[in-house]
Amino acid sequence: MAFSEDFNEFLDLEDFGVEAIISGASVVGIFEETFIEVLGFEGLHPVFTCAQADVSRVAHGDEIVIQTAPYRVHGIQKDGTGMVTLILENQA
Amino acid sequence: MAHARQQIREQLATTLTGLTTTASRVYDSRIYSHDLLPCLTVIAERDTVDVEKSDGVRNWHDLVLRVEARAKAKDSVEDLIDTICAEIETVIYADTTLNNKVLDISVEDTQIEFSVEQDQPIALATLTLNAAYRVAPGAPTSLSN
Repeated sequence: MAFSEDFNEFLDLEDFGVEAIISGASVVGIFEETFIEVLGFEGLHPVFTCAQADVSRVAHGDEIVIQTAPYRVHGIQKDGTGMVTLILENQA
Repeated sequence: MAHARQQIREQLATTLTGLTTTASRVYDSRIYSHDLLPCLTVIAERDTVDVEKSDGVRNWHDLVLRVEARAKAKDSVEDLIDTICAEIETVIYADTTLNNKVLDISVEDTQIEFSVEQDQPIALATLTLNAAYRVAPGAPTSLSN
């Protein structure tokens, strides 16, 4: 029997979920910025995790707005279970 | 008085201060502000006495300096780091005595690294500079070029 999961239970706006606008469509996911040091630079690594089905047409270079902040999709990491993590570049 | 090597490193930082792209963001130590980019850091990496060029009255020193240029930009960070390198090379060759602190200084090598792992693309250019200076043995604070 195929495994089926309702990701909406994890992506709740009343908990950790936030709304993002991707290609004009609203998508709910979890936005995180973690510290990362590369080549001696201190900085952040922003990612947006959501249901893969909600962003099935997303492509590298697409624009995404999260809480009014503009980003560009730099990486698309599918986890194989139906979730995807979009690696973002800050466009501010 | 500071060691000749420190005087040269500080003079190099002074020479590099005020460039169009990096302005006053020049640090003569390994510590810099990560929030104020682009910036330059100046480091003295190796100081070797050349015995064959020394004469007992003055020791000839071959000093290797490193200038690290750091930039971060959402677009064209490659162009930005090359612009910074051009500004550095121009000002170095405008006075190859570093205000009479060295006999000569030149750029030997430039290594460039890029990364897109952060929220915006970053670039690090490391310029290796070779300088020569002379001091009397036992008098490391008095330049004697």
